[in-house]
Amino acid sequence: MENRDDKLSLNEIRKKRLQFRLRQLRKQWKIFYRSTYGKIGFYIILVFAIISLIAPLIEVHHDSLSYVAPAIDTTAPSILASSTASFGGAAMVNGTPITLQGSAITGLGSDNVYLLGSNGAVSAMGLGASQALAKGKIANIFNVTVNSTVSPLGISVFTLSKGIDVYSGSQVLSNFVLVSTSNGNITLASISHKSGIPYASSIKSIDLHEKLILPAISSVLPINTPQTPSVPFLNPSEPGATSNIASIYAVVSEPTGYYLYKISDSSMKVDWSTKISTTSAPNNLQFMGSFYSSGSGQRVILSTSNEVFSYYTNGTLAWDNKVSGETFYGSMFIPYGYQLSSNSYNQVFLMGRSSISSGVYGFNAMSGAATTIFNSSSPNSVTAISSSLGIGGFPSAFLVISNNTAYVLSDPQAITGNVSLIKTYGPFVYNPLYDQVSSQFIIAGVKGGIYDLSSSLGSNPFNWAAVYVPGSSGVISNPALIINGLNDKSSIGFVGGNGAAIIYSATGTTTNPMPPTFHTPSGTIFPLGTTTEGSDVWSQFIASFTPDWVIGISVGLIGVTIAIVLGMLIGYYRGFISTALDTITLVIYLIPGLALLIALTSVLSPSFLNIILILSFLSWPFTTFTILGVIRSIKQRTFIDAARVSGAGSSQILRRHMLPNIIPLLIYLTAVNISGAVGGISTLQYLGIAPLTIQTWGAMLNPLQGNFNLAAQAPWWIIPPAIAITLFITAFIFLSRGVDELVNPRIRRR
Amino acid sequence: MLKTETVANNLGTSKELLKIENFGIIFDTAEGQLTALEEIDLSVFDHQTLGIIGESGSGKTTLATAIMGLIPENARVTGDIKFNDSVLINEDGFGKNYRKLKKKTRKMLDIKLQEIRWRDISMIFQGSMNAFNPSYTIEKQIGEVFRIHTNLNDEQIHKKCIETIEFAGLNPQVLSAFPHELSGGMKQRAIIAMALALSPKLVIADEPTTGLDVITQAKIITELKRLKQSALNSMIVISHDVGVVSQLADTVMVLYAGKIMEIGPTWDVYEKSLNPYTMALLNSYPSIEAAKTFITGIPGSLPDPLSAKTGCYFAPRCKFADQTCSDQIPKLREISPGRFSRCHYAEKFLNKETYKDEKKESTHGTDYNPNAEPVLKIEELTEYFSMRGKAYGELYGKEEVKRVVKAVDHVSAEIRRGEIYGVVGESGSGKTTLGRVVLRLLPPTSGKIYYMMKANDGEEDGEGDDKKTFVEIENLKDRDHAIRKYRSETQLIFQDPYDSIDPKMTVYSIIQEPIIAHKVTSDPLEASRMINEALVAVNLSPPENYIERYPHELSGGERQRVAAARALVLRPEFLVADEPISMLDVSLRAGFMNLLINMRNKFGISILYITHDLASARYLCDKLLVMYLGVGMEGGLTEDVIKTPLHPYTKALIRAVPKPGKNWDPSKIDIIGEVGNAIDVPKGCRFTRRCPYAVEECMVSVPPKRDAGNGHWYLCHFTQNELENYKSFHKEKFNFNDEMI
Repeated sequence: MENRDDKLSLNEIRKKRLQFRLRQLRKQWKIFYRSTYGKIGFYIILVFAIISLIAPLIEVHHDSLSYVAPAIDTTAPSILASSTASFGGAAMVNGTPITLQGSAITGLGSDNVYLLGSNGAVSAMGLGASQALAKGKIANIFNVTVNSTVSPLGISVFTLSKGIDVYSGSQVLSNFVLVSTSNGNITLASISHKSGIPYASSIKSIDLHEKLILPAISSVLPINTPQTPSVPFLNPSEPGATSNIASIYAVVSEPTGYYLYKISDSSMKVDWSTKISTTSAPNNLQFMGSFYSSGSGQRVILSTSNEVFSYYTNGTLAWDNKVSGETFYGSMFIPYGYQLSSNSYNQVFLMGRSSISSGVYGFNAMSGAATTIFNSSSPNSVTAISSSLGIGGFPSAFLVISNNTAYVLSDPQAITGNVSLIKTYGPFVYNPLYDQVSSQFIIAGVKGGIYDLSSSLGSNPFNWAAVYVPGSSGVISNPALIINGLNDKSSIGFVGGNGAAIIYSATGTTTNPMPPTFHTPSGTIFPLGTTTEGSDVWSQFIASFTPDWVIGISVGLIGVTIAIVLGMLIGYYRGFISTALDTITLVIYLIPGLALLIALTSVLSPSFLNIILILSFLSWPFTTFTILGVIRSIKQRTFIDAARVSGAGSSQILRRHMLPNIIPLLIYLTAVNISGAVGGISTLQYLGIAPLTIQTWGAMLNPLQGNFNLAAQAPWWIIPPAIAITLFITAFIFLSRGVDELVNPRIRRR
Repeated sequence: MLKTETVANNLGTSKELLKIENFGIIFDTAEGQLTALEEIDLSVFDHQTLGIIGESGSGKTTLATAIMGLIPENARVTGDIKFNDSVLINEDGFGKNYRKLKKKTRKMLDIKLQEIRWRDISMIFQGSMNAFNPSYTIEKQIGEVFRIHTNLNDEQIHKKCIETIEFAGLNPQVLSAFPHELSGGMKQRAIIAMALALSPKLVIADEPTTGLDVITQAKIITELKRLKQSALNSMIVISHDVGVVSQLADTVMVLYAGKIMEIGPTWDVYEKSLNPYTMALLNSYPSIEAAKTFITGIPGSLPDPLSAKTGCYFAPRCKFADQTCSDQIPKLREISPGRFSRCHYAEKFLNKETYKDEKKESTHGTDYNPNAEPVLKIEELTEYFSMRGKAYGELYGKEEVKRVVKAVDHVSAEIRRGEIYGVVGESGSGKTTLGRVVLRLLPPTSGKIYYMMKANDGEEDGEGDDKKTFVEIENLKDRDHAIRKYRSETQLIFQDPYDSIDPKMTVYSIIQEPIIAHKVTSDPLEASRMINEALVAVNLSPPENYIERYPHELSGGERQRVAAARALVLRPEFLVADEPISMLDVSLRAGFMNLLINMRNKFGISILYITHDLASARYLCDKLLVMYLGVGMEGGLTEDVIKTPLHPYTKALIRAVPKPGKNWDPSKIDIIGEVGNAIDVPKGCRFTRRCPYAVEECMVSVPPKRDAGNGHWYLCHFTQNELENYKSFHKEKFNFNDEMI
């Protein structure tokens, strides 16, 4: 019974002592917390610790060392030309507002961009070719009548043959401009050049007296498409003109319904007109088979919001089809290759949407059978489509832009890759252009973001990107691909918000070789930008926390542990061993630290473990000297004598008296060692001695050593690690000051 | 009463030099507001010396530094200090408000203060003999005063320096010396010379003799007294030692917890105190000349300056206190002409003699049995420390003999059970070393230490068969069983309670130390019981209040008690107390001494009491050994040694103790200079160089031990009669000139 009581009270004593310890800790914490320095230091360290703990969650790229951001920014396109005058770009809706003269004609008058202004003026803008208009210079060709009720619809430029030259046996080619206005007036003009200045040599027009709802199209492809295999003839009566005769198609809205018209190019007379059996307005009109050798495969394809119609060139309906529940919108897309020859796989692509999804559908050109190409579960997400040429089947790269992401498909519903675009520069409602010269897509966002996207995507999907800041209206017009007939180089042209025409080189020119940047046009946001290598600074920065902590703490603890043992040994005992150790420590201490650090690191392989060991090895002499000095001074204190008088042996004195008395110093030294180790590894990596594969802040600063300009050039890259190192070291010094205040009541009083 | 009259005269006629009105200082600290000084009203007249006494923490030094304008920036000042009728310190420009001043005003204030400091008011700081920069000569440092405050050229400064140093009674050669080449007394004189260099109107001497040996102290007091006659205009002397103040001051002010308790002419305050605190303070000093009386000290401690207080601050410690005292704050009132006291009942004490009222014959000596068995015997104990000379000297030195410090030289003693054996001497006399050697903290160079130990050390069956034998312990190794036993039966109480207990340990752990070291018990309950008992034994009760505290949470007296508890926890047989009270406050000393006596009476512990304070030695000890430069000069029963000192050194030592009495004249001490070093000792009598009686023979041969009966002996070539004759024949030798230092 008594025994049990004893045990009980023994437990109570233990409990009491534990409570006492806790109370003491709380008290000490309060004192520590009262110190401003300590508080600041503690919180900084806390933040560092938390960040390093949640690093895997917040770092964007876990392979921050090997991850390279798409190096899209290695080249940037430059503006080739821009017009100073306004074309009223804001008023230009639908259609292709600008085109460039094709490659068929060289020499006089080449390299012009043709524009239709909102005031009805048809103009050419020079691109600076010799014997042509100077770069950016405008020449008026003719005007169409517009007023408050009549608006221009669109312009199309294409090349037609005027027959065979009797002397040379070659075709006589001329560029024609087709302009239509909303009141049903369609004008076709032939363009000639005089001293490099273009002018309209013949203007023919027809007035349909009905409301035109879509720009009139020619059966000939505009010259902004890839090279034409054969040039259609203007007039069937011309020598050599057999089947390939051009004509104009237009959709008009009459009170009785919607009608499709075919108009002859040469006479500007209506060949036929047919009523379209639909109640909703057609919103797409395209000619398929511009270059078919026979006219039998040629179709006029138009679509309304829910139905697709295909007409033979004689005006009879070939097929019509719909996809139940789907509403078609946006521009119809026909790959270039499908215009070359009639094949069973030829398709017409359309974007459709329903209340629950959106997708891309392909309609077989011959049968009208619909196929689902792309499906997205969110409605309205698909905004634009495009593809590569498509010669030989389904296009090798079919591009769908959905939710500001560009998806590339190799087959229907087979996504091979995707890359995101910066939302701010969208929405991307203009169908991208396929530049066959570089087999890349040129994507233009309404807000001026222009991307050159590799059709194969890959690790480096973007060739270049540029941002054209739109003017007053805030949007740019539908862009047009421009292929320079002289050098086969592609350009991209659009009308900016202020109405000026802007031409960008499609290949881009190399500007800054490696500009570190904050964000990439791909839409990947780098909170701290990228390095010159394209690495994500944020990920590297965050990933550096843990290694720096590991190095700091392990070096701090190893160094201090060695130093406690040696410091006590040297400081407390006297004798040969003590003196010998003292001397050895002194010798190591006297060797210049940095030199030894570099030498050791170079000799030993600088692995992570080795570096920790080397830094520990360098940190203990200083620590040891500090500790042994304090041990020696404590040894002189009377309470050590008192302990000896009390009969305490050396181990008891060391354990019970020395250790508690040097603990604040140990905390201080550990703090100093931790910061020293972080400084040490940073030095090594900055100098490039330690491998940069150890992800630390020092490694991040390494490139600065070769190029100090980086600090000014990419401060977002250099400043965070520099601040982190400084804060980390300062925090530990602040912490030690707080501890100092805790153990030094004299400082506290002040 | 001559002096009092002079003061009264002065008060009437001479100018009021310094006037402090309703002055107070409150410090803002992290813990709260600390009231350092309150309601100080004070005047210092021309040609007046004011003494300020009080315990440490009473605000003496704060007041002194405030007069100099050295007020920390976390202080709030109330009231003002006027010097020569112009306001020197007020609340606008000092302490907290200093920062608020405009830059220009601040600068002007600084310049004004700089001009007044040293030229009008100078100060001898506490411990100021350490204020010399060790890397400059004395001349350079004294010359600095002239260089800063006057426009004299170098030659004039040199002359002034010589003048100053001669004035302070020092040889001008001192000027070219470095501080470490001078003794403490000389440095203190030089400091005083520096303070007086510009003939200031007021000199503030903050503890001018603290830290000095008793003989040096006597000489400094003589010096100051002499200067008072000639050069000193007015002076404020601050000391915790009533003896020092009584010798120098005309008027005495008693400070307690930042308040003035009493002001009055010195002897009136000393003999007919009007304030219970003054009485209690004066009663805390053991006297060396009067009968051995029981002193009580003042129970309790100073009130916490951080907490709010009501009533009289002294009420909790005052034996006269009643309800009024703890409710109402007393005012400083003029009780009789020129005498102010802050007490509700001051009138009660009028015309009562302080001393006579309280004196009781001591009763504590009765437990001493001079025939008890000896516990410890030391024979010819010697401790030399070899000096590590320069490498060159070690290798090529002509002298074969290594330089050694003869700290303890052939000392013999015998300590009996229950005896308090006192060792007295100036600093450097080897007292502490003796204590350490005895406890085997240091291995002795030669000689024997015998300790009475139970022969049957293996089994302790009972009281019956404990055969006790003397064990030689001087050469035992640390691991020996005997030495471990010796350690468990001996203990040491150190001088400095602030250093002798580990600041990182709780009281519990500190006292637990010997229990762990000797593996006395592994049962925590038993250990806890032992610790509680030890704490109760040293009057720290209830123990629960203390065991969880850290040293910094304890007062000095409590710390020393904890140290004593640690010493007592294993019930030692033998205790060395090395100046245990010298760091304690006056009011606590008596309490601690009584504790030692109780320990002896209760547990029969033998105590080796080491001290430089003869009065405490007399109060405590049964036997005394007077040491000088490592040699025992005189020994015997305490009363014999104190009443009839035989050796010239002992005589000088006893004379030098300042006494709060009018008939004490320190200039009549028959001794030359200060304690020499123990390295280069004379071949013959150690005391030769300072002994005015010294003759040729003393230099060459070791003096014999002369027995005066009753165990009283001294070490001298001469008998008492021979000494007397010598003195009457060579009167000129006893007319001391301080330049001989």
